Amino acid sequence: MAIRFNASGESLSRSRLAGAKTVMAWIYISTDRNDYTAFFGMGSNEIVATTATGTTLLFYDGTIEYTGTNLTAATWYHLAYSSQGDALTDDWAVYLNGVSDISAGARSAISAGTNMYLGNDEYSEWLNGRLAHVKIWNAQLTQAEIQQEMYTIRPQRYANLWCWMPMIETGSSRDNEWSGSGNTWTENGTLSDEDGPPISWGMKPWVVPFVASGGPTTYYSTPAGSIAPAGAASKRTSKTPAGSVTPAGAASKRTSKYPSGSVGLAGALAAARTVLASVGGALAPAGALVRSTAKGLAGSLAPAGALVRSARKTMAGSLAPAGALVRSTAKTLAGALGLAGSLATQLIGGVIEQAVGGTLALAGTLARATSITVSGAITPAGSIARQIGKTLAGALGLAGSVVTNWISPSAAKLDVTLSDAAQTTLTIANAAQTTLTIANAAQTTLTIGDATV
Amino acid sequence: MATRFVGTPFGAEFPASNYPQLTLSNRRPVLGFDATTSETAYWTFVAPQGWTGTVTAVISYAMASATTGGVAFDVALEAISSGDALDTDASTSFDTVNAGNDGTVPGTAGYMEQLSITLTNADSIAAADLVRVSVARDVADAADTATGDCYVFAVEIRDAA
Repeated sequence: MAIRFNASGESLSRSRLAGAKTVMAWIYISTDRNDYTAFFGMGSNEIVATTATGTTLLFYDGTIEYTGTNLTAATWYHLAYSSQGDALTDDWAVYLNGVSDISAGARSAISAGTNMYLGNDEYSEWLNGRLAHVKIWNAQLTQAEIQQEMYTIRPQRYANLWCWMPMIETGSSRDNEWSGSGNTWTENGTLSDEDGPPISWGMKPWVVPFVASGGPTTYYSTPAGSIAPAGAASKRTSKTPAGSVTPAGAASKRTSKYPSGSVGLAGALAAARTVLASVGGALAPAGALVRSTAKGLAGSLAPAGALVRSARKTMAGSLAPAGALVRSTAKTLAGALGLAGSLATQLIGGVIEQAVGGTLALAGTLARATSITVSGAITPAGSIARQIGKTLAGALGLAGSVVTNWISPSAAKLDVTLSDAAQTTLTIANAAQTTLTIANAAQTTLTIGDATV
Repeated sequence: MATRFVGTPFGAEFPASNYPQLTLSNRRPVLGFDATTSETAYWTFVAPQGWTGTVTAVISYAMASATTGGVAFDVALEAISSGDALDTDASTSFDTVNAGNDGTVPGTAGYMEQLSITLTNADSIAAADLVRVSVARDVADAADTATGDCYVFAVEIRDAA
């Protein structure tokens, strides 16, 4: 926006700024008055105006009229005046569009006066035109500084800023002073608002350098330090962070491929497809680990909550969730598998283990299948629902019952083979309470040594 | 869809002629787009890394006085890659404009509404490109029937990330 002056007596005025100064504004002659036309009247002997032609730039120092470029009406120009001071020996210059147009190294008269004007002077040489984006400093700015100030409404230099009227407001606020200096102006006559020059305010726009959706989704390849957002890490964190990944909230998709440190989540790891390919340290979320964890895990996997689907392929340490392990755990487990909760469906591909080196000790129920070969003991506190294994080197100690059968749930009959009758005893501890029933004698064989019963 | 750039009135750049006025509406910075002359404002940014997919512009606006009619905008992108044969001193290379309109402005002047325009002509924008967004009120569009200034508060650019 701009302030429109269009009649005698219309101006902005205030008490004069003495001494060094720089005054600048965008100016526009709406109608050539073919008469002296003042843009800045800064006292009796310091006037930036036009000559009597109405368009030729003029500086009047109280005695001498210095002339400059001939202006064109209905055109925006940036006009600046800078002065070293009021003394006879002080230099001054008038800049048009950032280029010195009129200048001198001294004055012919000391600059003086009571008031200063915009759009007029004390000789009533009024402007029929517009002024916009006025900035005044009580210092002499250099040409480079003036050029820097030209194309922004917002000042670039705040030191010595004496008055700033951006003139982007209208009505009674059109001449509001924004520098905070309190050097306000008085409106004389009936001023109005018209369109201003094509000048930017000068604020840098906002560019989003990464995608954000509740929290950062992707951090890039190799952060040197730890990643510890206060909130959630919603998608993925890093490929190779040197430090730990410890969000206070949930990490909903994946954390890292190769963190050398620990992944310690205060919250749940909600929907991970793959937490880690290789974790040097422990993976220990306080909450649930919903889907899968890692391919290779050097440390333990010990979520406080449930481990819902699968844990890992190869795990050197223990797998000991406090909650349930719902679907599968591992193919090869060197350590113990000790579940506080139940093992609901299966561990791997229909059986718990291809090979379990240690003990399989369940506090809860082993629902379906366990293993082909278990070198240690299988001692669930609860029941084994369907089948155990083919070969069991250790003891099978059940606190509960065997629900369906031992060897093959798919067999239509029960085959019991005692391979060495001389060393094998089939004991029914309490004959009074126990019945050995062969439901279909035609399809069932009970063999002791070579003898068939 | 992810926000990649937000242009505000204080960050706007202008052509030499036919540009909206930077002013305040209830102390809110706005660009006042005229109802009789198509006026244009620009914003410049560097496309951030990870830029991907379809580009959308969302213009947040309110009418200065109109309570009926519609408003139409044209949004164009100029994406310059390093080494492109374009003399930025003398030329521009905006892609074809993408037109959009809001057939019915809010029934109360000053109520904010958002106009979303899919930028199918996005000048093959890629990460690290020097980008200019051109936003112009298209007063020649038959859908632009609302009178008075259209105050634009912000222009948001989204990609598909």
